[in-house]
Amino acid sequence: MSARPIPGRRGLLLGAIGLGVPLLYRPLGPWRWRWRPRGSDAARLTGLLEHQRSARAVGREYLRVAPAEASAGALASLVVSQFPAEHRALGRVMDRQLRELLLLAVRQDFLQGRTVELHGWIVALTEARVCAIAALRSPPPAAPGAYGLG
Amino acid sequence: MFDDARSVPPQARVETDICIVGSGAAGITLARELIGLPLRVTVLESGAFEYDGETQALYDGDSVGLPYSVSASRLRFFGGTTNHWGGICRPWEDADFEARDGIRFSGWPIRKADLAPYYTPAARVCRVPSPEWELDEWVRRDRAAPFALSSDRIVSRVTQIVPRSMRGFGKNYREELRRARNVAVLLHANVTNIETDEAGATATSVRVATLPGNQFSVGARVFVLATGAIENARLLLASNERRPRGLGNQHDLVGRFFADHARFIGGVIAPSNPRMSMRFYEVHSVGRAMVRGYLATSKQWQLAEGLMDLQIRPEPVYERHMDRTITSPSVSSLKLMLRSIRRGETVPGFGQHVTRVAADLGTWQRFAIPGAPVPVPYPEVVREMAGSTRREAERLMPALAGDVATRAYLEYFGARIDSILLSTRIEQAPNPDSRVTLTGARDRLGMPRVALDWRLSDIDRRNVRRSLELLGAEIGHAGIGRLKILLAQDGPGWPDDLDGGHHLMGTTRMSDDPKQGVVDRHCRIHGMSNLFVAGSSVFPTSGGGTPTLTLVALALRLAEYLKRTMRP
Repeated sequence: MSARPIPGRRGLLLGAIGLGVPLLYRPLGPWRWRWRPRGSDAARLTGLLEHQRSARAVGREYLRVAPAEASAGALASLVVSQFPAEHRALGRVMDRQLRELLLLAVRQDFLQGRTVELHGWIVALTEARVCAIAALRSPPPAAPGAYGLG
Repeated sequence: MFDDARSVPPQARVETDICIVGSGAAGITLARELIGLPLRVTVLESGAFEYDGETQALYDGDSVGLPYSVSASRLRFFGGTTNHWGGICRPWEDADFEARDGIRFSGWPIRKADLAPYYTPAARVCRVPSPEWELDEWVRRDRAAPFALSSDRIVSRVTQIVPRSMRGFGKNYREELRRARNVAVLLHANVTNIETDEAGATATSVRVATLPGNQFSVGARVFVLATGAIENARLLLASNERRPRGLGNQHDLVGRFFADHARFIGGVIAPSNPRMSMRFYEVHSVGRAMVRGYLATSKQWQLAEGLMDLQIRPEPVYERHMDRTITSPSVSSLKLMLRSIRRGETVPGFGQHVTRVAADLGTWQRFAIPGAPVPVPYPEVVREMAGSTRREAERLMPALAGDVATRAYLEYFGARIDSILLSTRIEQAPNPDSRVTLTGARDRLGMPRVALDWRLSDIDRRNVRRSLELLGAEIGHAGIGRLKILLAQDGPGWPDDLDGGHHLMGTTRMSDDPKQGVVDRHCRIHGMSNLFVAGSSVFPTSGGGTPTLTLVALALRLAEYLKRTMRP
């Protein structure tokens, strides 16, 4: 097995840009630093999404086409039910692992055709449901159509 | 040899063995196959060697259905429509010839195996650079790669593109036909009627008229119509002296089932990686061949779900260079779509929310805490690295640093793919209401003009939407991005950018059953002993692939049939 090459000046420059530019430009968001998983399943799931406003917009549209699912707890259960049995107790699942589980569930949705069409976009059921949880956990937008429906 | 119909004495009768009407891809292919045989062959061509407005105007007609340019979609001079052919070739698949569940009138009376022996010679006739069509082989040769899709729902295929200088059959084969002793090509010869015996079962001659005014007839033992889907139907319908409904039209089928490969922007992909390579799906060279990949539902899924075929050509829209790179009028629909995007109708707006959510789950943040002002790795990532062996750390570190650096690079350097438009070209479901009829108007030679009522159906809409839905799931699964279907689920209309592919097909469809088709499996008109049709008007279904290679293969097959059955 060959050794990984030592980064050259170009690599170091790119690395510095990678670390420095986001520091300058990324907006300060509601980030959390935690060592132990806390909160309800619904909170844990939606906490993984950085773009909460986008998640709420997608979630509201999902709830419009699936109004029967308008319960954050029930949605969280539906999402978690897609995980392998040993990972369904989220209190024992760290955030990074949870993200991997979600990603896997999304991929499985696409593979098995568990998709939903939202404004023409083909979205995995799991990601739509996580977004719906985000929508249910926050107040509705101030004005109708504030998010644009492209 | 070539001759000029304008110099044939009025009311003369020219005798020949085989009379071919039309010198497009099918007519020229057939004539070439008959060179050197002890048979006299006469090819009747309306035009000469160059485009002529007066001759072309004989094609004028009305479009009374979906927008269609009745005249501009074809050319009326030696070489026919190959004079503006795009040169895109690919043999059809086995399933293209099979009946589909739930699709009425689908299925050919012949199988791919019946046509397979003719595809390789047809590729030579069309001057296709390589006889290779298998995706694996092209991927092996090509530096560009197709999307890495993991299921069997969507496949990539390769088309070859004949170089522009080699596309015109007229130019390619003019000299060969000039030298042929048993083949006479009569230019400026417009066939206005097919005359038959009293029973209307045997064609005896065709009436020919020229624009200057002289008229004569050509008698033959066998006649082959090779004038394209609109004109073949027009000629049969107009030849109604013995059969009031027209020749071959005892079951009211001539002119029906008109089909084209309708094309429009059916969807758009918001890519996860704006720097992804789209080269495989753009026209590019591999060795001496020009190729282009496209996406389609797999034949397995088409048969399982009763879907028709289609071609989905991903057209990347580069964020900053779009206006410079797209200048061709033929892709004005892409510009239209770009303006729509900029107005916030596709990727921006709701699409932006979808792509952000997808990115939240699937990209660089797999290793870092969301929302942090700087990329802060998850504590467990740090712990893993601290407690890991050097090999494990090496595995994790590039993933973190690489993603972060890549993200920064993508945001601040270089051109990015803003979106990928999905130029969608569909195999139209057989539709008897999509048809060519005659009108009361007449052209300069007294021929009735045509009205084209091109129609698509709900089956076509369902086919596009279901195929794009499958593609959307595939690209979501592969992490390529998210797809939006632009074609509405219901509603009477089709997209504003809907256009035909100028692939005219289906008006004299092939079937063993005279109640379902105009010609039999040998391309002979049902109920007539010696009148044949060559070209894509005999296609009962139109396949997802372009028609030229297949129609040339069919013409070769017809030539072999005539050689086998005709005695000198």
